[in-house]
Amino acid sequence: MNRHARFSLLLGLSALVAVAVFGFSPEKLSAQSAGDVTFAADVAPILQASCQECHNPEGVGPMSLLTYEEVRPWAPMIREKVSTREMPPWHVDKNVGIQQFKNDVSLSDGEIEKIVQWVDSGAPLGNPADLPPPLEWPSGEDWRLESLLGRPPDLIVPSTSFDVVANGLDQWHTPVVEIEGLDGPRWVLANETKPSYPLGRRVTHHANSSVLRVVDGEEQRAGFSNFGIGKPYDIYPLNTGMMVQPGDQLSWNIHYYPIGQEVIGEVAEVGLWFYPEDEPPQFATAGDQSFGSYRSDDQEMVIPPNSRQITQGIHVLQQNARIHSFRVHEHLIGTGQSLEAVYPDGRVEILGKAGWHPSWHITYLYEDHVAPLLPKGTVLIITAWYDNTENNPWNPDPNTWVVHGRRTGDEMSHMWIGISYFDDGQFEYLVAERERVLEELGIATAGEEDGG
Amino acid sequence: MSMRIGLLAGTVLALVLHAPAEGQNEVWGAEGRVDFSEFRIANVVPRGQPLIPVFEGWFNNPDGTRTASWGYFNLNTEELFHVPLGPDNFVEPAEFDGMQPTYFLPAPDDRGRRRRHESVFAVTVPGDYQGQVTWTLRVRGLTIESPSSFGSEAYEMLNIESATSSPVSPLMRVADSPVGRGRVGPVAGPVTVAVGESLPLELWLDLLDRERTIVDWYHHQGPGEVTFAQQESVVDATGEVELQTLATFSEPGEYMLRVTALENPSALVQHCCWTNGYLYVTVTP
Repeated sequence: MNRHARFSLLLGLSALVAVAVFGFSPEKLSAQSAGDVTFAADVAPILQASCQECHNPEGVGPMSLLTYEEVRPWAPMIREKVSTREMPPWHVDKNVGIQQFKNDVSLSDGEIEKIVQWVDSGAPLGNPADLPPPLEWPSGEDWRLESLLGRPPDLIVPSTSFDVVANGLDQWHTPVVEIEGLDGPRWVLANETKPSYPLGRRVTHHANSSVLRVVDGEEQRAGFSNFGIGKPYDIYPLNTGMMVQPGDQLSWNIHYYPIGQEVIGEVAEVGLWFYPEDEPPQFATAGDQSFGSYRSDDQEMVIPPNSRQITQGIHVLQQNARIHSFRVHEHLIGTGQSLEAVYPDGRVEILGKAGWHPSWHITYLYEDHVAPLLPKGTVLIITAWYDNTENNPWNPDPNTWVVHGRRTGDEMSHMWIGISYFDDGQFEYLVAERERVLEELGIATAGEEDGG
Repeated sequence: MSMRIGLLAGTVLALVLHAPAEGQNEVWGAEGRVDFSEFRIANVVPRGQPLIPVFEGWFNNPDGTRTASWGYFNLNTEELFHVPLGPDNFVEPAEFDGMQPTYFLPAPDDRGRRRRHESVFAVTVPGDYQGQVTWTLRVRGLTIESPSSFGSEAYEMLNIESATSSPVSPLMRVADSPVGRGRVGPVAGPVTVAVGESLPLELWLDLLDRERTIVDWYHHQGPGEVTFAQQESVVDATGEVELQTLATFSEPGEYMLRVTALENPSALVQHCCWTNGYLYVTVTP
């Protein structure tokens, strides 16, 4: 059984368990409760804001949750999933680190309480007149950023085609393709990766790309696009972009897994949205860069059977930087990572800590006003946790030593960090600009809080 | 619990390295929970670290049998180990014992090279075999078992062909062996040579349409030291090629040499596809 199938089975079993636990019945579902919480007035807006993006007929969610009729049979499971914060998928530790993210789909405690109350009171529809207008969700064939940015991609770069077998082991496709269609340098403000629909999306574990450029005979590589379940696109921070130019190549790294059905000629596409030619951004981003959670020279991944392990990667920033996103990457034994900064003045700040779920590759996009500004000399510490015991539900065999490798059964551990580097003048400008924005927002800076 | 680790007193060296967090490296062993943390298991250092047998995975064969493969990770960059077949180095059930290495190279000090030695031997079991196969190593007071995980989807591998960047295992003949390919590969010998004399090593390969192949000879079993005239060859050719080199042995005894034909190191990362070959050698005084 592949992981997709296992995930679906898990979901189905969860529903059965929930029905058994909560003694749910259609009669109870249709009963009107004396409580105030109803689907129409209270639950539907929450589903629209945080669930329907995936749970629509063409979304990646296993069931559609657009209407009361669609939602009602799943009410017990929804209660279970949201009250344990398993859904919506958002694995940032809410107790530590920065909490302001552009793509935060997690529910507030109040929203969870509403859903729990609604289910416990019989999941009533309420007054249909209270229902919010239905939302239009993009088809699986559509570019998600088209609705956000108001136009289709300015340029589409396809991978080469790949035949994914019906049954077998994980497969990798790593073509290098020319970025064709550029008349001159252009600055990318956003990119989105789209496997074919529907089968391509089902067989694609991840599809990442880097921009390759030869400068003075040396090949330079910059992390560019990343696709995984829960992570289709990147939008760079305000006034920041990545430059591409004629002659550049896109180096793909696509990981497929068979789904029991042959997929012939699968092609992934990355869509590029540009800044206007006459309005280039002020700042260049280095894109997504991989930061290891192991010390660089003397550590290797060796995880004993039936054990837990913690490792740390230490990285000293040689330039001023701003981090605009982070994403955990592990396989089946890893359980999460954290990102800390030790500033040159000795201050220590947890920038983010997130659990890991093998089915989700979520990039956590900082709100612009909290995206960490890090002076050169700042030390970044990536801490990673591993659980090679039977308590880890994803562990294929707790009696096996786990080592590094690309295979899903082996383990990887690095954090993808969206980062831009600045000279001193640019950095001073950004720090001053940040202070101005925070003042406008009425948020005290760290120095003021400390009395500094 | 198939994994057992026993610690003997006074056999470990504390390493002054990055301290692991609390709870790291606690392992259930034969005598209960044992403290494994003195080894700082993730660190590769010159000396003092353990030798880990690593189960790499398993694959189905066309004839219905299944094969499990192991490699090893010597976490030392200077210290090599001789662990003769016997109570400190055995495969169970005993019918599968005998192909595992006794000579364990250190990890390359250069992080740019693969530090682990992947899939150095394999064991084939009948199709109706229901149990697991376990390789046990006892080094520096640690008894470490590495069981196969037959049936686990996460550890299933390919052997001959895949869609990876190194897609096909070459055909190989070692000395007068039959032609073989894949991890199990051809087995030849024994041939006889005296200590200090040069043993010609004859290798035939059909590289098919591979454009580049890296061929390496290794000391796999045996008590002394083996010196190869050319340990590694890079072959820029396709189709059939013949390679020769020489080996000399420092001590008498029973040896086994291993030869690998690999297109590029990414095959090791992706667990396919290359060929191992083996040559038994009897070295006389």
